[in-house]
Amino acid sequence: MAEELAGENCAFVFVYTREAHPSERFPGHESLETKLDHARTMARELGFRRPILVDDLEGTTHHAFGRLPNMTYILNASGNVVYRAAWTDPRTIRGAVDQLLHERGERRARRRVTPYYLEWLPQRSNDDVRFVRDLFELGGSRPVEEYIEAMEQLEGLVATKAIRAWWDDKKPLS
Amino acid sequence: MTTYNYSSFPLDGDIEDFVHFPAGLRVGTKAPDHELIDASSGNVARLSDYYEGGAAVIEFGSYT
Repeated sequence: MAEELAGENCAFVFVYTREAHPSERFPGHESLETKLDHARTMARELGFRRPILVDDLEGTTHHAFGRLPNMTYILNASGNVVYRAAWTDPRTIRGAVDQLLHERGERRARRRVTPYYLEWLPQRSNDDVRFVRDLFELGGSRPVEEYIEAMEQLEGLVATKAIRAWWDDKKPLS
Repeated sequence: MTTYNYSSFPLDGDIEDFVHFPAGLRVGTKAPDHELIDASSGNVARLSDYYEGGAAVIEFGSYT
């Protein structure tokens, strides 16, 4: 999306926060150097082209924006929040950016625009088996077991049946 | 509250953060602009370096 919209004067930036699912390879940060190292490893291994801005060790920026593990904001030219989502969902982000560009075009054409308040509760695709599989490949057994245990408490055994079944079949014998 | 840089994923999944999110930094308000570090250069950077004169999509996250 960032490359597709290059030239539209809309930057795409990633703010690196705490590790949401610490593991032996990527433990919780004990120093800023470790946090920077994790961010640079991610950039290299995932081929990141967007700027990655690393928050301080205390998570000052992360706290100020709501402390969620995978959230997205869109800020306008004045730094005002025009979109905020508790989950990063490319479909709704694209819609919001298209709206911003439309508004910009209207102003350039000297047509009057006025803000209105909108609330929305979209639903995202949630392939949780794929998520735990990726988490296992990246961090090994521990973060997977911690995640499934937490989700079983939060959402119940029925809702988490698929990831438990996948893990029971996949997990290394101890 | 869980220690910010926890060493294990919290059993409650930090659900309180999701509960409180809607009442947090509201649309239409000015976003905080604290110092960050550009992972590529190691230099200090701010979100305003990116949204001024246009707009910026800010994704938060980590590798794991």
